[in-house]
Amino acid sequence: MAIMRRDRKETLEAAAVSFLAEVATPSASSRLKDYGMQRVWARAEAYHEIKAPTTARRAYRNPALLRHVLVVGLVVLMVLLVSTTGVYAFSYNATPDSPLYGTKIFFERARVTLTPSSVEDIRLEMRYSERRMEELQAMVASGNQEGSDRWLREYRRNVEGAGVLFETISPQEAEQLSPQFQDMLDRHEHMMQGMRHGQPSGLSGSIEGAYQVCDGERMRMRRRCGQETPGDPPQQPGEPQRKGNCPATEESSMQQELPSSSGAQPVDDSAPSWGAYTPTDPSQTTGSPANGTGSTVNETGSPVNESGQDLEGMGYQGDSPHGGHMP
Amino acid sequence: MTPLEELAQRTADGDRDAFAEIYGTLVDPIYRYLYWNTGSREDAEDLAEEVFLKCLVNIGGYDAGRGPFKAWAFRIAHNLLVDHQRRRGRRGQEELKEDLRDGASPTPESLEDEERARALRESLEGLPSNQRQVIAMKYFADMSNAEVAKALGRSEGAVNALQHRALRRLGKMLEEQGWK
Repeated sequence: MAIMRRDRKETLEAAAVSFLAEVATPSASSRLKDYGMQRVWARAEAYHEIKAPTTARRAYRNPALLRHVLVVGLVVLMVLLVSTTGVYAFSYNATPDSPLYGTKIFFERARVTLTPSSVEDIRLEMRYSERRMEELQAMVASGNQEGSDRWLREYRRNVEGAGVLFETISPQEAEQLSPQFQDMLDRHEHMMQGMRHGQPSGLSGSIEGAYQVCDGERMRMRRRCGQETPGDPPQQPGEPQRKGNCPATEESSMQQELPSSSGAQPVDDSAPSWGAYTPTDPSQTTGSPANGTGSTVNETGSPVNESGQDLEGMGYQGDSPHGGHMP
Repeated sequence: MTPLEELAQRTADGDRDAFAEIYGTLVDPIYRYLYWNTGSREDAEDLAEEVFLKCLVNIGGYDAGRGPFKAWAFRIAHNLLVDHQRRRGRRGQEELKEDLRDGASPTPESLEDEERARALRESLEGLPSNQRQVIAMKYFADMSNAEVAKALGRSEGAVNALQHRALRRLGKMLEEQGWK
């Protein structure tokens, strides 16, 4: 039965094949065979001529396509924005031993790079230096010295970067910013003095390095501003400003006239290490008295410089919750 | 690379003679495939012209590594045919039948040829669309199973099965009409 069925199928197929072989297809007209190719070629050329402008206009003519493009663009933008914001937020409090520390530094460098004004760049570098000090405080508190080399590198970049930027700003701007910068360096030195003892060797070395960076930059600032340092010959009356773009401030003039009015110790420029520093009254002095420029606190607890100017009133606010001072 | 693929490459570079050779080689198979699927000479000729236009416009996108050029051209023909039949379906069956009666009259050399062609046309109308396309490609466009499979986007096994089913059904219908 199965064989018969198979034979029947094969018979039907064979009959169909032989029938198909005998059927003649009516031939195409000469319109297609003889002239079709020329017509197709001409139409293709016309198509290519109008294709480019049609494609360019398509998005504007087709609201659905335009909407699609806009939606996709917006989604991509949102994803980028959310991911960038998320990474920034997560990395904000990263410490030098954290894998996100590089991201934090990247955002900081990006912001400095994208800020067009050198004055703002200096302010940013100062703010980031304050952040470095907070990171140092965190490392000291936890006794974790991992990443301290990286921390020192970044601190040096912030402080020295700000110092270099002082060369690019006008004397008036330098006059305004220089006291804040020097005060910050003083405070940092003082804070590092307090943190130095009892640390692991790696962390202690980094603090030592940062202290030297701080001290060296402070010396450079003083020279740039024409303020005297122990290595310089005394400035003669009527002598023009020595160097730098920072004119002598009232504070520095007073300092030259009354070098011992604040009771500060003389600076040993050749040995900037803290070994030479002996604070007279740590509870009242926020800067390093070693160079005679240390700021003090007034009756209300606000930091003041030697001429009695209120540093907080000058607009300088550190990032530290403690106002840049060690608690 | 077979001659058609070489010609396609030259056409993509702007060689008009190469396209003329492609046209001369493929115009009859494509026309016959379209004719036995539409049942209308005019429709088949119009569609064939559209097929060659699409081939020429998109020939830069043809990749010889993905299959023979003939299968690629028949794929375009198949897509255009499906669009055509969909449009016809929207216009309604009555109009379709009218078109068949008016436009499907071939010019046979003899009365028997005319009778055979009419019987085959009616039998093909009774086949499902996919089986009809396989028959048209295999027996009127002289394509191999591999080429048919590429053109229809199916496996060779599926094409083989469709072909056998279509032939059996066709043989049965022709037998019922009195053709042996």
